[in-house]
Amino acid sequence: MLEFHLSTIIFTIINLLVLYAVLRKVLFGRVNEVLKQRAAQVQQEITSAQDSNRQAQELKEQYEGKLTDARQEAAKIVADAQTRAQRVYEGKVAEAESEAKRLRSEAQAQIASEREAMLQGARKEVASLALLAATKVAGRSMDGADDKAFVDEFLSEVGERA
Amino acid sequence: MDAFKEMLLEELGTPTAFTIPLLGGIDVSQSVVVSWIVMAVLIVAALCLTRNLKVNNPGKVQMGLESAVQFLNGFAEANIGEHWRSFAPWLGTVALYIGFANIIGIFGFAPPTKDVSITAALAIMSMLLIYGAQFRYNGLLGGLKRFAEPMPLLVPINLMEVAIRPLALCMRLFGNVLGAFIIMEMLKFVVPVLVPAVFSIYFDLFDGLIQTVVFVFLTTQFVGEGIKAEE
Repeated sequence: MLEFHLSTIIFTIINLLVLYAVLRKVLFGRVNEVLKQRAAQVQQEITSAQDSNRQAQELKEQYEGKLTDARQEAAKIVADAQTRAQRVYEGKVAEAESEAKRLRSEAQAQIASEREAMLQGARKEVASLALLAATKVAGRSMDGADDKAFVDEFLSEVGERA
Repeated sequence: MDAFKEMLLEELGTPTAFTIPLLGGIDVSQSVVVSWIVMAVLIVAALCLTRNLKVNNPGKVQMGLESAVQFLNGFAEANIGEHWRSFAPWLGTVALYIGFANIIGIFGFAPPTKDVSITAALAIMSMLLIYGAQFRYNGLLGGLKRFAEPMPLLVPINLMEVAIRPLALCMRLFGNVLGAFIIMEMLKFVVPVLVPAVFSIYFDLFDGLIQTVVFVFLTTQFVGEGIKAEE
């Protein structure tokens, strides 16, 4: 029962060494290789994911910058257009105002001149009527220069009072 | 009763399977032949299971295999430290061999580990591993200094351990497997049906695996003690 056989011991040591050699190559070697490859792959994937993440971040920043630029550009364009339109509008308004003013002054001038002419005509008429009446009254012709001056003076006195 | 005693004694012996007619006859005991069977099974299983390993989308078998190897690696790393890589395959090999040798009783073979010569060989290899590693990684002087740790007072005990550790490893495994084997033989003699099957679960399977774990764990522990850097 408790007998040590040298041959069994030696055989077992050889057995163990052979089994070790085979299993180390076939079992542990292969499985560890796969585990190592997987670890390397995971590492690589993490790295590439981080890389693309960083790239995406950069692109995003770029786009955001561009977007801000574009927005500013648009705002500038709109503001430009507004000021231009404002200027044009003001110009038009001023033009219209001056036109209106001109028309009104023209009309006023015309009215004034017509009134003047009418007054002139009326005065002449009155003067000749007055002369006629005075001729009748005086029983003589009053067509001398003195008479005329006299009548005019009278008329202007009357006109001032009227 | 006499017949039973005779049968038991016969079972307990280590019969020679055949003799190689070389150098005046080399005895090949039955336990060595069973060991060869165990080895053949292990090698064929390893060859079949590790065929076609894939880095992506591993199958269920491969995942099981991988987690087993990872467990072994983690166990070796935790107990041995930075040089674990060279030890893990040996420890795994020993664990697989002892494990299968212990539970082969289920399949009707006499477990090779009930032969004290086999466990002695295993223990010798463990001893060589433990003290080989101690000198390999600490150098000759550093390896010798390790015998004076944790304090010089323990030098005699540490030196005695060189012999005691393998002896304990050898006898523990041998005694457990032999004891389980004797109990199972007696049970089979007394109640041939059903009852042995139930007890076989404990004595062949559970005890066999426990002893495997104990043997490998202690070997790893001793290796780690010999080479681990002091924290």
